Amino acid sequence: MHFAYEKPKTLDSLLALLSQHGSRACLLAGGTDLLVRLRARTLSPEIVIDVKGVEPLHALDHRADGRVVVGAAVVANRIVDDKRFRPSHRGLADAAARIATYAIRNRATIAGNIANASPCADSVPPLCVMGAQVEVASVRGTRMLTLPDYIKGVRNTVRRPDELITFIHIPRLGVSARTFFRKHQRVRGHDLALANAALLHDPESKRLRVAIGSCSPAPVVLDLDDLFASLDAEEAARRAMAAISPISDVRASAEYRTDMTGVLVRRLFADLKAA
Amino acid sequence: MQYDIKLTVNGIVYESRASASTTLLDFLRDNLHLTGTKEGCSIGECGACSVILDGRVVNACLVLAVEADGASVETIEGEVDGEKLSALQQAFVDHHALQCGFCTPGMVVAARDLLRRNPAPTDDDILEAIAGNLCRCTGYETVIAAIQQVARTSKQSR
Repeated sequence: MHFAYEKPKTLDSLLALLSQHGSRACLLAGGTDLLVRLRARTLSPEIVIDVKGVEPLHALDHRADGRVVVGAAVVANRIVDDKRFRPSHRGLADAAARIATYAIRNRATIAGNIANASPCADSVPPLCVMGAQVEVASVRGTRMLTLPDYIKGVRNTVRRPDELITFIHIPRLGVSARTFFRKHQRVRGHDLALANAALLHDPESKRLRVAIGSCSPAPVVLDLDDLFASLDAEEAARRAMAAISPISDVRASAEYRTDMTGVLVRRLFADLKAA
Repeated sequence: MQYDIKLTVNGIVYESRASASTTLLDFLRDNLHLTGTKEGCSIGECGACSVILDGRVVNACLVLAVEADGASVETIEGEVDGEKLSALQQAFVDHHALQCGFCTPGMVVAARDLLRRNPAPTDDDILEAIAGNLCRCTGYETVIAAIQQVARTSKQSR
C-alpha cells in the first residue's frame, strides 16, 4: 500500500485534485469500507483524498421547507442522534441505527453507504422510498441523480471518476407521512442484512412505496400507490418477492431471502398500522 | 511518502512520522509503543482495537494515522491511574469478565465510552455498545455484570 494522502480544505481544491487523478484516486470519508479494501489490495490508488477537510460537507440541514440535506461527511450516528428528524423521515434514522456497530457508526457516512453500492447498504432502502437525490460535483459542474438510479449494480454506480457525492437531498414529505425500516440479520451487531426493506406511506400525495435491499444487485423500489387505500400487505409482499432476484451465499439461500422479504414487507405494513 | 503526525494520546502530545497507509492502530502500537490496543481482525469486526478518538469510540484499524493528525486519542493505557486499576477494570477482574484477555482492552474502552454517554445503561444498552467487541472465551454475561456494577456504584456515589 503506497499512496499519497491529501485533505483539501475547499471543495474547489478537492475537485481539482480529483480531476487530476481521476480513477487513480480514492475518496475517503469514514474509511470503514475503504480501509478494508485498501488492506485487501482490491483497491490500489496513487492518492487517497479525504473529504472531511471541506467544512460544508459536514452539514446536516433541516430546511424550513421540510427538506433535509445530508453532507458527504455526515456519519451515521449524527443521523441517529438528530432529534430534528420528523416521523416522516424517521425511517432513515432507524436504518442508520442498524448499520454495523456503534463504533463503525461513529465513522461511517451515509454518502459512503450509497457510494459503495453494496446491495445490503441499510440507509439506501429508506432513501429510495423517500425519493432522495444524490448531488455529485466535479470541475465540470454538478448534477442531481435520483436513487435508486444512482446505483447500477454491485459496487457499481453512475459516478464518473472525477465526481464526488457532495450532498444527499431528501425531499419534503407530507406532514402525516411515515417511513419505516426493517432488517433481517443472523446476529446482533456486526452482521450484514440478509434482507432489508423500507416503506413510505404519504397520505398527502397518496403515495405508498416499498424498497428492498440485499436481494438484487441494485435496490428494488416498488410503487404501490394502487394499494394505498387497501394497505393489502399480502399483495405487497407477493409483488416484492416477485420483483427481487436474490443470490445464495454464505449468509443465506435465495429461497430464504425471498421468504424473509415477504416477512419484512408484512412487518412494515404492521408497523404502519400500529403507528 | 512520510507524513508528520502530531496527536495527543492520554493527555500526552506525541510527534512522529508515518506513511499514509499506516493505520492509527499500527501508529499507536509501532510508533508510540502503546501496545494495550490490540489487533484482532484488522477489518473492523472484532473491536479489539477500540480507542476513543476526539470523544468518540472508533476502531483504530479503520482510521489512518494521518486522519488522526491533531486529534486527541484515549487508549486503554489512559484508563489506569498509576498502578491502580480503574473501577471499571477492577470490576472486570471481580466478575471474571476476562479469560485470555485479548478482547478486554477494547471491551473496557467501549464500556468507558458507553458510561460517559449513558451513566445508567440497561443491559440492552450495554449489549448494543459492546456488540462490536467480540469475546471468544468468557462470554458476555460477566462483562455486562461488571459494567452494571460500575454504573450502579457511580449512581450511589452521585
